[in-house]
Amino acid sequence: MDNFIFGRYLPMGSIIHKMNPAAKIFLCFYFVILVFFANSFFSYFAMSLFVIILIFLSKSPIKMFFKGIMPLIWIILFTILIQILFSSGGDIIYKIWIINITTLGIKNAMFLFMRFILIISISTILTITTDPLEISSGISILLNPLKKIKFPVETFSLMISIALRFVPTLTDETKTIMDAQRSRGVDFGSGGLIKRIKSFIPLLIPLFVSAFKHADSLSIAMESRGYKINSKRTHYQNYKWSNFDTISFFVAILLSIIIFMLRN
Amino acid sequence: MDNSILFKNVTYKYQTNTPFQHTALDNINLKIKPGSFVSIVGKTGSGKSTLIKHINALLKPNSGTINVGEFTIKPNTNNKNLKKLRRKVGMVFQFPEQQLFANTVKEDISFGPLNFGFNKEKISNIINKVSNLVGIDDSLLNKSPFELSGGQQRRVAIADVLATNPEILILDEPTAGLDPEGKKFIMTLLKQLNENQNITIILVSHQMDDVAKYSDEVIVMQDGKLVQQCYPDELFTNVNLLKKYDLQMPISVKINLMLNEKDFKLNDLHLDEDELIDAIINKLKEC
Repeated sequence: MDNFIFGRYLPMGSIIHKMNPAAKIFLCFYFVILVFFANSFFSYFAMSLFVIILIFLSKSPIKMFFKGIMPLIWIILFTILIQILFSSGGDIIYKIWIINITTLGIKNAMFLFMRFILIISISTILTITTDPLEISSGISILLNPLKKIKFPVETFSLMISIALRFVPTLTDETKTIMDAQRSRGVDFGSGGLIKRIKSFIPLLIPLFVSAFKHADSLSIAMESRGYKINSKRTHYQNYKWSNFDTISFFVAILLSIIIFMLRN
Repeated sequence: MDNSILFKNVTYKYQTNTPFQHTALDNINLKIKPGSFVSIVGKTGSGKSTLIKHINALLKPNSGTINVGEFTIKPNTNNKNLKKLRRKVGMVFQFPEQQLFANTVKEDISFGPLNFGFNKEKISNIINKVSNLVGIDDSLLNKSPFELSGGQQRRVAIADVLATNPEILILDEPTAGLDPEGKKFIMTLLKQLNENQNITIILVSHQMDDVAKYSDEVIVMQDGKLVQQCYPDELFTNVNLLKKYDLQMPISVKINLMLNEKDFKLNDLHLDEDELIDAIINKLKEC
């Protein structure tokens, strides 16, 4: 998985890396919501400027962002094309059969493109600067209020961290099993559709078997170390609230004011 | 046919062009003679597994070439047309029982031969032959591989690879996690295949006793570099080399050293424990 970039943590130790994970996740969601409020060229410009500053502050290589966008490029282009070809309103530039190319359509398509880029970039910043374990503890902090309605927050966040923990393990195992089956003459990704799907059976069955084995031994290991479901747990690492986190909330408020002022 | 393996200036890097880049193989040059029993040793992360994956083109070098018999693997070798090479080179991975998937042991063994286009009649012959070789009872052939014990699963997985009739057999720690009996069985099987069918055996192992006892030649890897290629007795009698490469001393060499300290000198060095015992008994008789 050499080019699996989207959602990978890079330990660069920047100021963004040191932020409180709960604050980071909350602000990331807030930004995504804010993106949908922007509806003019200037508001998108302000948002892009903000993201560029963030990329700079997080010390993450620009290349990573292109690699994050590339897997989604076809979905983005498809959505934009639909937007351009089939939207109505504004001045009509070109019309044939049911296809309407209008000024409003082109404008909407451009905004849509910007939305995709901004949302992918901000979530890439989140995953580049936040360790998976930090993400799961951040989520559990954010979900804390749900305890009042008896939502099993501790169990849920443990589920997330176990899932994240086993992604690299299962990736490694997938690679090994693929290599083993390749050595036995399997050609992954060649031949017709049916043949291709069939060639994945010798990969998926061993992978499922091993995932169940992992789950089994993990549950035994957890119980032998005294894990009980729904009991109160303390955490190895407690994330402090720094001044920078407070400042970042003010920046978020400032950004929202700017966006609302620049809206049409 | 000449099935020698030749590495020329082979370099391989993991995750090139990322901050995680890591040189796994650094300018490797080596030759493995056909029909030999070669062991590759070295610490975890020294590049042993990466090295063997180049022999059947699971990995391709960033630079340099590998020749396996009539095949040549270069950085730009096409991923297609590798089937013939992979038929020639059998590969048994660490914990090979992880690769089992079919409904019955029989189906699992015939998977490889079917992929390589063997005909039905030949396959049923092969199933009988390899299940005898690895010691799987006929009554197990129609069972699900997942019902078998760990040791039996390992044998089935090795049978899976032997079924394609490889001329070169590569094994990555085939005895890890087995009981002493299972270990001995597999090592003896490898020696038999090597001697009777002239199959080249390439063994990656941390078990220095096995390496000393069975192999004709030892390759030592350290930090992605090939640091030594020699006969086992050259390596295992040289305490300084073993220390330098962080390798364990085989028990037979240890006993030899201890005997020497007590002035009980044997004429030759015996890496095989049975030969060592015989030599000690003979010496005692002389006294």
